[in-house]
Amino acid sequence: MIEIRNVSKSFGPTMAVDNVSLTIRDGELFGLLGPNGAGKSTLINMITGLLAQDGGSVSFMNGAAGKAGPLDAKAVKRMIGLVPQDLAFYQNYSAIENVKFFASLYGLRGKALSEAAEAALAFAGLSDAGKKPAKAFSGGMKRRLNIACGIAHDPRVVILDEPTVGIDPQSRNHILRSVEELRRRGRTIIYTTHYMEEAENLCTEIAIMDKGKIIAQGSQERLKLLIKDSSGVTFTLKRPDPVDLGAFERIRGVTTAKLDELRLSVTSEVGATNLNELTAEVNRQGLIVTDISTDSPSLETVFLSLTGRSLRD
Amino acid sequence: MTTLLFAGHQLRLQLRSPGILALFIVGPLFIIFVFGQAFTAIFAAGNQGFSAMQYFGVTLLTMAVFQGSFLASWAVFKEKRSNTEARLGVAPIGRVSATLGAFLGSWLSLAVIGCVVMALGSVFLSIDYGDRPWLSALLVCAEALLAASLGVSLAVVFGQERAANGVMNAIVPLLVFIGGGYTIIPDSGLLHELARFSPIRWINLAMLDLALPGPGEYVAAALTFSLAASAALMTIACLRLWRKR
Repeated sequence: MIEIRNVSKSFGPTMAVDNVSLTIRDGELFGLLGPNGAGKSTLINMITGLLAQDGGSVSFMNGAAGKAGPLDAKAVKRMIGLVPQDLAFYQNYSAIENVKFFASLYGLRGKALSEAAEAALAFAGLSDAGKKPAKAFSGGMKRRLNIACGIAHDPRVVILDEPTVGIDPQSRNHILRSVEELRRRGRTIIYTTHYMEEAENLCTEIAIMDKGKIIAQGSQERLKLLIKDSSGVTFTLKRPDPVDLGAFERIRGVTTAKLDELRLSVTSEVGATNLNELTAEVNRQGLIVTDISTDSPSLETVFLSLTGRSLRD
Repeated sequence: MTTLLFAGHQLRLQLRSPGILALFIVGPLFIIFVFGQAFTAIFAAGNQGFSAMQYFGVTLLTMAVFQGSFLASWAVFKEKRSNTEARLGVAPIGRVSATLGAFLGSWLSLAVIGCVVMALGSVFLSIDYGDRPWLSALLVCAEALLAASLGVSLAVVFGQERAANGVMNAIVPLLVFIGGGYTIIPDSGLLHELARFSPIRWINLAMLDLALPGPGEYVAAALTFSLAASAALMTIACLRLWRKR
């Protein structure tokens, strides 16, 4: 578990991270979202120890490990695998040389090192390109190599900072499947992205950051509830039969019921959970329905609603 | 272990770069050849006791090795340029060990490059390094140590590539010039006095003396000067790194 308590960091007069507290549980795929300049990278740099915080604390596993006593800085570092946003490897090295070099920084040697490097390349779908120089790789292959270099030492916590920026759909798909695979293997993942659909599809828990603060945190469902003041159900009818709208309006939680040609729209209070009653009423009135849809906000709607639509520098 | 890992890494990166090999091996040999040919008559008239090819075979070799301080500085800054700084920062390694590795790797590659230029110069340009060429090679290795420590320490102290390169761009040509790299320093006068402070001067004197062949009376002074200056520079770099930590 990673506990971030009241962490702050300022650069001169600019408060980059302002009293942030987060708890990231083991095995969680934690999405950290926010517009440019929100403070995500500063927060990640403090989690990884690249940057010292002005105040507050970051602790791994409650600050203590089991067998070897309290966690020291090196033990924490061994747990972390960082995949930076910028491509971070040596262009003149081959893929396998890059992965081996970075894995060797974590004490891997000999056969263990070779096996770890091969496994990381296979994980990134680069087994066949291991001996090619990195500079000859396409953009997508470089992104995948960037990931292989960060996970070869089999870290328990993987931090991926915008890993799918500017790549082809095939590589993007491979990376997203790889992230899911890491989660299946029980790794704790912190994932930052600008692509809302990625966060929506991958993350089990999401925090939205803006102007150095966490402005919302929770599961996707919980975040979506934040911006909803009503929920709606639309029944598409097969033919324009007469509808008793009053009967719908008398159902628990319903605020309005409207008929627009073949579309019967019923709006309810948030949390009314009255879909069963609504469908029962449809059946009671003998209405033939061809489609049912519910209006569910996307994560993007939540993000824009919470952070605003004005452009950021 | 980290130091050796980074030394090997550095050595591999530098000796694998065609640009570096061209700049530090082919370049000096070409310039030695051109200067050796161009100044033949002047040296013959001056009755210096050695030919232009012999003189520049030593002084331009030591100049090239000393220019290697830029390579050592690059060894430190390359992590920033290739964005690997953050990756190294989160790894469980000491920054001092990594920097010492970059220094060690740079020294080894400069020493190898210097000795290769010596060997090629001897074979293809008939430059004579005396009866004890291993002593000349030892002097080249000592100078490589000095160049590596100068580059690494300036990189660590200034932290910015432009600033470190700016200082090196001032120091390296100056020390090479007063060390007799470009022209023979007179036996008296201000330039002669200033030359005492250039480690390049002592190395050039020692190598030319060995080539004459002389008794090698400047070898000890040249080695002491280079090693002491190198130790001082690396101490400053390590202290700076520890304070940063």
